[in-house]
Amino acid sequence: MSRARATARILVVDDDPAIRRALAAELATSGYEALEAADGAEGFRLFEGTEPDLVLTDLAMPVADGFDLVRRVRRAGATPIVVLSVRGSEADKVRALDLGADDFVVKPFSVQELLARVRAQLRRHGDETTRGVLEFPGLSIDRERRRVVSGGHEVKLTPTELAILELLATQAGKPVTIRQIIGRVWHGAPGTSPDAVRVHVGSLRKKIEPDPARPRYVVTEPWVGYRFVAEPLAP
Amino acid sequence: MNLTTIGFVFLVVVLLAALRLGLAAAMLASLGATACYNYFFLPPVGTWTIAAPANWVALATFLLASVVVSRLAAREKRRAEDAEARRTEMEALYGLSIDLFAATNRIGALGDAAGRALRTMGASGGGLVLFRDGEPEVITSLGSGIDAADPLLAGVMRASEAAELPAEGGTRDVYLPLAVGGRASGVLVIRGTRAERNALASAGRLVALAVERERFLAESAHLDALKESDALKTSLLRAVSHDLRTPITSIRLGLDRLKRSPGAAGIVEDVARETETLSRRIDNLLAMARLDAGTFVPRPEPTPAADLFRATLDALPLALAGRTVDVSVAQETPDLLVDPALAVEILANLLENASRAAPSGALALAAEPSPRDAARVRLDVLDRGPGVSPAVKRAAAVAVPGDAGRAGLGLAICQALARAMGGSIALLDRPDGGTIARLEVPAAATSGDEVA
Repeated sequence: MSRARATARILVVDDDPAIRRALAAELATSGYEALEAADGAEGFRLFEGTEPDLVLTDLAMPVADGFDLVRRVRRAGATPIVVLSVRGSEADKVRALDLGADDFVVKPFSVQELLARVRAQLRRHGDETTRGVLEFPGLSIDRERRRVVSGGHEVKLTPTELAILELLATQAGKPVTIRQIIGRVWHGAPGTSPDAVRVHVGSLRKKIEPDPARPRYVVTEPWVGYRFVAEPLAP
Repeated sequence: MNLTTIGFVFLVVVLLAALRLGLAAAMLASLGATACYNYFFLPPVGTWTIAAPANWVALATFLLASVVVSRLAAREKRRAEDAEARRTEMEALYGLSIDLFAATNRIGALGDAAGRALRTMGASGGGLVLFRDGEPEVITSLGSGIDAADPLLAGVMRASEAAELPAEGGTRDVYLPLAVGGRASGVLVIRGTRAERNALASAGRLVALAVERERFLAESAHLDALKESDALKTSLLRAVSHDLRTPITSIRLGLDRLKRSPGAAGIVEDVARETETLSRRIDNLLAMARLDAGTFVPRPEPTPAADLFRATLDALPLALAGRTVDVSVAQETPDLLVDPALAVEILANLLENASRAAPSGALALAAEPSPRDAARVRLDVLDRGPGVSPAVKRAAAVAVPGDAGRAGLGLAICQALARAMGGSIALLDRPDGGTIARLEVPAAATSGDEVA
């Protein structure tokens, strides 16, 4: 995808004209270039013609739904995709993530919420991080020395906990499914249960979260997995 | 011809009589043959006198032999006849089973099935009675037929044992309980039959199977109808859920934009807050509608209390604007086994109620293991408001919106949602002033072992 553009170009696909217009207006106000499509088919035509930097799509659309669009965009490349889902349709959310979507927001959402997701995806995509040290407010992860410092103190993590933390932190802002964690940390070892993942994440959180009642770094995405929520500090 | 040969010829005659005509005829033939043997062949011939004592022995031996032969032959004959009869019955039953299961595989064919069974058993009449909730219902009645008030029907049904009464011309009236394992579901009455008891029992079993099958057919038809209605409800709710949330989404987006225009801030803030509330009411109603429709199944998964609290606060950005909410999770609190979306919905309702009831002062969310039950966790929503009114307490206790107004309705919904995932809600007075809204939910099984 072209990285030469000064402003990021965002493709908005939703069959509801009011939402489409409102989203496009908000994105434009925030300095993005917004393109609109009313269904998945039109969306993909626009995608091919304009090479946007991010796709924002509804899932339930009468003509060529969002799943199909996610699948085709993902086949074409790594362009970040944020899907709009409706509460109560968790299965749709997981399905979209499995098809290659990067994140979701649940209707009704606020503009701030949406813009935060969009920013996180654009940043993540522009900066597929390979840096040796990941820095977050109050937390630093030195991947080469395998050292983690939280609140100024070094914390001792087991290799599994460190692997999970690295996986989540390198994709800060993006929901990571339990299946993806098992695939990356346990290399898909058969018989690895979601409960095993929960146990390790639980003890990881105990070690790195300064206030267990208000998690700052790792939060649960119900029925999906986990999300690293802290924003990385500029290198 | 000597005397021995003649004796054998007579024996053959007796044997034939036994095979052809049965035991009585054979015995008669034995006596006749003995007499003829004496009169015509034992010297002095032509008289009933027997001269030589040896001939007395011969005559007695002959009589004995012919009696034994008659009995043996007659028994063979009876066995052959039995076998033949059983073969005929088997054939009839086989025919009946084919008939029952091929020709009557539909609802409402039971009468037909019973009729076929009666004909097969050579009955002059009879019928089928099914008992539904203890009440007899005559499905079919043929020939002399049956009377639902016949006390023998209820007796056979109760005892689950067959009964037989003698009837005209050496036939029997037979009452068969129809049971496939377990309890009888009805009685098959076969009047004026001569059929073997085993054959009757088999016919009864076949009809019982037909009754069971009819029941399954009816049940599956009912289930199909239910499934269809569930599918309809589900798709209706999906559509409603989408249709209601889409306008809310665009209202919110529009408000977010308006907020930044000069001079509108205060009003827009109010509208935005009300929209947030409206949105949550719609969520409540949809969740209730789903529970009510029976199409909603909570999906519990182990969830840390801190995540629920965080999501709850996220759900109420406007209602809680400017408010302090203290969040605490006791050290040893296990993960909760809850449907996360439902739990957040309940907590958001309780917290919103708390913020309305106590317009000032800090609110708090607290989690701790239940002191009474290690397998449960308490999630408390605390405020410094005026405490719980008796009406609201009553409403909370019975989970019915009574005279408690809006809070009562919200509570009733929360109670129903909590119950759906094995939880409960109680409203308590906070010892040093204010209210505790307490949600108790199951704890997730603690898998203490570190899994490598």
